[in-house]
Amino acid sequence: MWNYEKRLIYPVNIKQPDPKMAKLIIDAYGGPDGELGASLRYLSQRYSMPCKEVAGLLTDIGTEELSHLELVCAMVYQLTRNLTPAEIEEGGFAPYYIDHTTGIYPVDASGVPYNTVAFQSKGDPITDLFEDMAAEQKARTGYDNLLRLAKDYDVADPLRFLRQREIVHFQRFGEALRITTDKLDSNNFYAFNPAFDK
Amino acid sequence: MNRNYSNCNCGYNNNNTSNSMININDCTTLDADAICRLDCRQLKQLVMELGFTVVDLTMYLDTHPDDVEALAYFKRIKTVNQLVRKEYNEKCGPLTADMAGCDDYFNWVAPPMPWENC
Repeated sequence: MWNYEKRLIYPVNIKQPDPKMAKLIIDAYGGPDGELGASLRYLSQRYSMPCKEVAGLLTDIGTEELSHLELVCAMVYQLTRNLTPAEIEEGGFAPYYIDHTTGIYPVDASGVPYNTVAFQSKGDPITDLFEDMAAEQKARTGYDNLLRLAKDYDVADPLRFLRQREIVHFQRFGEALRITTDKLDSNNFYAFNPAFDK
Repeated sequence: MNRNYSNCNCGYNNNNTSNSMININDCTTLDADAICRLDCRQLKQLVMELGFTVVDLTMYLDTHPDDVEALAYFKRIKTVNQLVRKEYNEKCGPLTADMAGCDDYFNWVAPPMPWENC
């Protein structure tokens, strides 16, 4: 069950609106490697994890990803405050604005709406954990790319936090994989699917 | 290109704090009296930093449930976190809906929302 805490996981204080940056950063919300996909992926996969440490980890990381998507949305919200129509057009923000004004809607940097095919929940612990490790690296690369373009410290600071969290999550998933395979036959990890075969 | 990534491994960057803010390394020694004297800006910072510490440590303990040092650190953080959150709820506003003020106005909905400037 989920509770909401009325705070952000990390402070966001962006003083200078920037619709061009907002259009890129929203990718971390509704993009294929963004936080929405990450949270749905982990929260979906956790049900078929026979190792309870791994189910617990997926729950905790999935929950943290929800707080990350809030952070990304807070950044987009602050980057698109008080914009004039001229600023919207100059910032390349006009197509998004036509559909959503300065509301928040999950799309990638090209405006393609979020699509669940970006993730898998395959019901096999080894498969799912490798998917998760790859997901964290894809997200980390995404933040690397955003950081090269973020000139404003107020924007770069939360992005650096989010990037570092991806690296830590990757580490945790690696450990979860080890925990899972430790319980399997070391001569053949694929002898059976511990989530399905008995 | 300036890749000035944080030195802290967990991601929390404490470089952007002014003199009136508290050093996270000292905060586990805060007692109830010291916490009472903090203002809302300091309490908010502590709630965020301690809350994040709990999140990060929880994840570590999920995969290392018998790590003695981590367990001891979690215990210390748990105590001071509870005190700070209690003080924050009383002085600054509810963190969770169940702590909302309900005398004559349901202050859970009182502004600001977290995505407006901190």
